[in-house]
Amino acid sequence: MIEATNITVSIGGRPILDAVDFRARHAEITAIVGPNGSGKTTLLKTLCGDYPYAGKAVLDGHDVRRLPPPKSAALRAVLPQSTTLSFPFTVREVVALGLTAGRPGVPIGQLRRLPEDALARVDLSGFAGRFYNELSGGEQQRVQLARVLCQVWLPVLEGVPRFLFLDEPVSSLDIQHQLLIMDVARQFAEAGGGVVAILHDLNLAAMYADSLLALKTGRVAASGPPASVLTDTLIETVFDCPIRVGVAPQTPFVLPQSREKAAGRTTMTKVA
Amino acid sequence: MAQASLITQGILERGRPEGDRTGLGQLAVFLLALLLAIVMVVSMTTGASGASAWRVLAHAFGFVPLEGTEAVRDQVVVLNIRLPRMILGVLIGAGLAVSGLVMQGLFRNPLADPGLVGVSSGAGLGAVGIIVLGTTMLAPLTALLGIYALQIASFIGGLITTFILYRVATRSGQTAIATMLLAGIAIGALAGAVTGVLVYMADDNQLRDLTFWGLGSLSGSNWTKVMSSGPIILAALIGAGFLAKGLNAMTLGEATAAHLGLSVQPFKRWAIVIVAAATGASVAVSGGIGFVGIVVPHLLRLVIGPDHRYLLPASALLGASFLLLADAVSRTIVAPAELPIGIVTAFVGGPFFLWILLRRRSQLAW
Repeated sequence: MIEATNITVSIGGRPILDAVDFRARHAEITAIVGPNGSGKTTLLKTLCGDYPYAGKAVLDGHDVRRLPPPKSAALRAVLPQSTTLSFPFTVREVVALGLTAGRPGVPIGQLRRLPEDALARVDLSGFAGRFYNELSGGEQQRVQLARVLCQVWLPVLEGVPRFLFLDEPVSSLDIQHQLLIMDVARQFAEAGGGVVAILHDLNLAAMYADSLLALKTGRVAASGPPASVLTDTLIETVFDCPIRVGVAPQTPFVLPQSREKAAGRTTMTKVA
Repeated sequence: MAQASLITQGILERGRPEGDRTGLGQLAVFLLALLLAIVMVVSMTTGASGASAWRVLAHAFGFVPLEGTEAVRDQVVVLNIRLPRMILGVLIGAGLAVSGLVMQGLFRNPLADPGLVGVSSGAGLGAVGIIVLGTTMLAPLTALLGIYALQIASFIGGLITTFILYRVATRSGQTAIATMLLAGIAIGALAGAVTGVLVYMADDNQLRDLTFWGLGSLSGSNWTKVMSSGPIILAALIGAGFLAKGLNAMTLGEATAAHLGLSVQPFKRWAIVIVAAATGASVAVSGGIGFVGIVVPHLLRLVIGPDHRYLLPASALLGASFLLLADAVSRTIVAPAELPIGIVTAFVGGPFFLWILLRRRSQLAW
């Protein structure tokens, strides 16, 4: 359980988040959506304890401000948007870094094979011996996810559910791997863990998330289940883009083609 | 590089998962320990005087009586000249290589080196300050610290420069390579200028001390220097061993290292203290010896990869061997005179550094 209330963050004197309330339950995927620069990444990093903040943030009963890194590493793992390495590690070595201080929760015998298991989970079997810096952006992103999975391999450890924080986990992936990675997140949640993901693809958000939080210029525009958040009015106010929300069986969908012609708008705005 | 390590990997890593180079790291540490042992023996048995270390050893174990002035002289040469020099060579070589490695990991930058970015100049300023002002302005300090005065002054000089460098060159956990090198030049120049003023103030005796000290040499080694610098370098080396996991995590960047469970701020403070201690205590004895901290870690990274759990001990061992060999060259190449060891390491390190730059230029445009 993550409970953040009244979170306010300024970086370099510029206000980024303004009185944001956020809640993420275990056994659920909570997606954060919003336009570029709306404070999504800042919110996620604040929940990791990266930035000083006003307000209250609690992760599994612990005040985020007072949670020492070794302890928080056992409670949640974080996938950044992109990661560059300063030295030439192999793919396996990068994934094994997930074992630095996290608690995967598996017996020693399986621990040795954990990097291989994690790589298989993200469809990168056979990549272990390659150099990370020589992979494509999408492959690097999946290697990092494998590392993150290693850190909290069991979604629930000793009765305590753990969290995956994913910052745009599918941003540089092809459609097959977008679905695969979202399925990995789904499985993690179904096994009792919690997932907080920043997503730009509203359709994936609608399809996979149990709960959505929409941010605009550092404030919460709406939150709740996808069907209640993704409405024509909300899309128009949050993204400044008049798009109709359609309804597929069970989930809402958002097609850029449905954009209404508005006076003075000439640029194509892509949602996905 | 990829090919070289992949080939050796194929031979050595059978039965290990693909991409796991720990076996290679362990083998390298073992072989380098062997190499150091050989180099240490060579260093003890060769020298300008032709004294026999074996005979001294045999006497120590009671096999040969100590007879004649020559035998006594040999004992003095081996025990009071060669032995302390060898010990200091090992410690300083290991200390410089490990300082370079820790700085490179801390700055996430393979070109960081205490000599290159002004840390040695800062440590040198501390040492010169004690040599010149130790009998006047800083007399209470030298009286208080005794034989450690020079070492502690160098340590503080190195600590201040490393700290300033880190503050100037690092923004939100990322160090810009150009900023770091340029800041290093500026800090080094500033420290050099203050050192110049101190040298100008020095009297004849102090000038003589300064010249000997500044050449970058192990030639003045004695047991006092071993006792004053040795424990500091040794402590720094042992401390560096605890940084290995953290340095690995730092490869992913500061924020990610914290998410992996590293307490980043204390880690950085310790790393800076360790670099300054090893560099300071080395500079206090031998003046500035450049490039060991660049050449040794870089070569090893090419062979065994960047895992600091093996890179740290391997760098310490190879750094020690490298400096002892450089010292052997400096003692013999213009015998009976001696070439300062800094010149020897610069002859190897200068071209090596250019080679790294050329290689990287083709990979990345920075």
